[in-house]
Amino acid sequence: MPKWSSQNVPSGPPRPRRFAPRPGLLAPRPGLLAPRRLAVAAIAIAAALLPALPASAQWIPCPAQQDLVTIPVLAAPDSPDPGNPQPQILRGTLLLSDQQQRLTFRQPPAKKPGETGATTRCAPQYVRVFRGIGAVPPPPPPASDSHYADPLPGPTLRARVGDLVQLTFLNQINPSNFGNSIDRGDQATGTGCDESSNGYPAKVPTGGDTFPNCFHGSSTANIHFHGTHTNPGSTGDNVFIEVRPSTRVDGKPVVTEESVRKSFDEFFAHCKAELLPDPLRQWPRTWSDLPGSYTAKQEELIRKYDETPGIKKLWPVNEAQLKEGAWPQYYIGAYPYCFRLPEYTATAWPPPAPAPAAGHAAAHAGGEGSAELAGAEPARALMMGQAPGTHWYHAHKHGSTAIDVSNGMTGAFIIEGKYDDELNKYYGDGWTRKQPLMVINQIGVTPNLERGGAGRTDAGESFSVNGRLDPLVHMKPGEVQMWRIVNTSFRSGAYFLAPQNGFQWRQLAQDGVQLADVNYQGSLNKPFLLAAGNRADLLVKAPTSPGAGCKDHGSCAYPFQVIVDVDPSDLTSLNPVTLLSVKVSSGSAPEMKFMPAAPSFPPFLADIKREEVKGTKKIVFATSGGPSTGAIHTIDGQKFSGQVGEVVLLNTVEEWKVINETYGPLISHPFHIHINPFQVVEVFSPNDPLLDASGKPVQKTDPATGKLVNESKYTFSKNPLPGQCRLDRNHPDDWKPCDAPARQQDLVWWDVFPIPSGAQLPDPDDSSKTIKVPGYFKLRSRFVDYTGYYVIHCHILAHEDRGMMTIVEVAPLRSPYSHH
Amino acid sequence: MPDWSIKIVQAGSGAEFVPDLYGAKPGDPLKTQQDDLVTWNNTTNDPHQPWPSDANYNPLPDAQVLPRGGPSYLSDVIPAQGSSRPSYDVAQPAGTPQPSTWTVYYCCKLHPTVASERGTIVGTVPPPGDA
Repeated sequence: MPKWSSQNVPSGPPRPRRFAPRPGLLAPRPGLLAPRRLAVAAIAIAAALLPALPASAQWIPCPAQQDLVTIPVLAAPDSPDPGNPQPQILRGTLLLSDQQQRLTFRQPPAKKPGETGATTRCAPQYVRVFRGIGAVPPPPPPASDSHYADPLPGPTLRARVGDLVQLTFLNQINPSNFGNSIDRGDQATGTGCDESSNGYPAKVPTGGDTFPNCFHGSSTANIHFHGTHTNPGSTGDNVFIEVRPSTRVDGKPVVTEESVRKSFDEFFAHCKAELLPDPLRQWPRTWSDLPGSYTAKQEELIRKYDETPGIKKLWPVNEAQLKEGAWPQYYIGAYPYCFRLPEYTATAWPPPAPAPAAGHAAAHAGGEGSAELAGAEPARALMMGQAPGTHWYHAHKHGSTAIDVSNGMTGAFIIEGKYDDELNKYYGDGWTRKQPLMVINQIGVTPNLERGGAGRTDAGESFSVNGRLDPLVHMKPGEVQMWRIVNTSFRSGAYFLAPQNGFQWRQLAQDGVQLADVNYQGSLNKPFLLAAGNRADLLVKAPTSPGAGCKDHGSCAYPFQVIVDVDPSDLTSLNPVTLLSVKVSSGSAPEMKFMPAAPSFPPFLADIKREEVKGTKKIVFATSGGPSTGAIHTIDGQKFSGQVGEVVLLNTVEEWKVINETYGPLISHPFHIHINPFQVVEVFSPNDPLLDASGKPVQKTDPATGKLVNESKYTFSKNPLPGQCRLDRNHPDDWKPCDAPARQQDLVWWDVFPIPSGAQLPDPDDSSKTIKVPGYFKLRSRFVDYTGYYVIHCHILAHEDRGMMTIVEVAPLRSPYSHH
Repeated sequence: MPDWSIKIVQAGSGAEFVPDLYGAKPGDPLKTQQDDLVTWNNTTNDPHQPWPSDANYNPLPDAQVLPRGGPSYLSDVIPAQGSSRPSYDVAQPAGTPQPSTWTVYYCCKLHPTVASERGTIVGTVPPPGDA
């Protein structure tokens, strides 16, 4: 863990930072000065002499260790009858603006997390932030030792399965506080990509990033509701829209909560009437479903914007999409989100087939553009409910996802349900709402590639939790807390080492989906990896007596350590860092127990059986390229083009082999799919080390470097070591895990899973060569309930911005034929 | 690594450059580390263009600054109420030995004789170990 630099620990009252040179060095300089500017000139002249002074960046004091901060909450009201909850509405306003915050930086930048010699320094930085209007409690003010607020995630959204979500999204970023960033609508000079004098985007001799697969458009935004099972189009979990900042007059945004209130009130009322009767309803379908007052104003704002000299115009893009019956892409200042969190109410799975003319499902089935064919679709039942659990949201505009997420444009989305009811029944009314929420992030600014090597933090910024490095969590002796942990980092995974000092944990849920009881029981104190985008709910129990080396609880803070990685295979080469610390109060308290059994498992989370699979696909993620081209991140050999990469028929089950053909630096690209979670049925990691009987890696001396390296579990050698698995170079289709077959029941649901990196194993016939072995995992998913377009991508978000994303189309059930 | 913003603010008939930091004054140097990024936020109603100069704030000739996007290039012309492009990466100057601390002097290329439209950026090499 980086040490706190003593010179950065505040030691007195705050004072303005000034950078006047030493008086003795002030000297008159010649020329050019108007008398009225003499004072300014004196400063400029003094600055000219600064090379003689020791200089450093304009750091500000870093905070001492802080308590875990409580994140403000925007919540749906509770149902009046808790015993029979009725759908409520999560109504709120999410404001996107910018703010100067006190950010932390690891120094020197090249040091890895936890590496000896790494320290932490702080600097005021402009970042783009989400804030909830009316969220409670209000965000904490800047600390007493700082003029700048510390980072804080966006407000926590809280609703219940079955609820309707209605959010007014306002973009009031002042783009001038950041370097000019171009997207398709901005000034048409340059490449369309962000540019720096370091040479980005064309730093390499050939290739380099090109629009749209480059960093760009970072003041334009949208919201991805990560983990929701809902409508992926129109005003649902739609990541294809782009909301530009509000136009400004006299420095102030003209699109405000007040200016859209009437239009959005009208829309939300209509949306409620459309969506509440039927969880399968996908509305709005066309732009004309939105209030005319809103669409007319949007057209006016965009056309006005298009009058800016020298820009690429936005309205013609929208216009063309509208002519095709598609949902337009560009907006200015405000956007209404309205979607349902469907509740699965059947008592078994699959659900009973609905009557032929049942409700809206028959009348409104189908995806965008299919209204004219709606009658051709069979009535259908909800196949999958929204899983109650710890989900999240974040900015997801292609080209700026990495910078926006690292700025802190993330937040938790807690969706409650029977899962919470059962926890509260065991631990007490309202218990789950009092438990700590931990939003992990690697908060930073412009991505590495835009700056020169001395400024790059290749391992990513340090992990923060709710915006603080190593915050302090308070527990009582023997207390059990439920930690909802969200890894919102744009880059790194957090590998949680087993708890120490007498702490214990059990995992309740993964990626917002509760675990089956057998997995809950088997999770006691097990280490686990949260790749970028993953979540976990943990029950954590504090020790009743102090841990080793601690005389009494009150005097100790126990570290919870993680390893910061992008590939599980590199765990042994990295240092653990302290993610957070726990202080256990002195004295005694009633000892709490782990819930004896996991909350009951909903029927819609039943395992996906092999017999259900109707289609298979192979999807290849790869990072390739080299010094002459720069890294190239692709899916199936293509960068993101806006075209559909995978097509699936609604309400079918598919099994996908998701392959990683990345060789060289180990990168387990975290695969993520929107809308529907999946189960993992097989994992092949060709970089796995060979383990001895005690579970430790078998090591050998690398003849090239003389260093000890891990022996590989997989080999092409005709004389494998005991325990090694031999691969046949002539039969790549047989390269698969050699362990016992993966379990086919009580599987875990995920929405992000790291694809094991490819390996280069020694060629037994030529010691100077290697054979490339791709890693992979196999998933099964039910593509159910909602038609439309959504995406799969790498959750190392700089990879996504640079092209590692493609579109999935879930096509509606239609028939060209009917009996009569 | 940090990004820094310098505000261009109206001052009489001209403009001033102010690091966008609490307590900073017009003309204050911006202290940076190698490969920090710097951008300018033009809050005035006139265009400006930060341009490298010598220590007397005489703009360097194009040949010493271009190409656009090269290590000496600070920004295109910044339109009124706009921000700079490309971002300026604080590059360590060439030389033997390379300096561990250096100063970039700049002025507005469009208004080189306006004495207030000048500034400095001080660069340092990050410390190699414990800072």
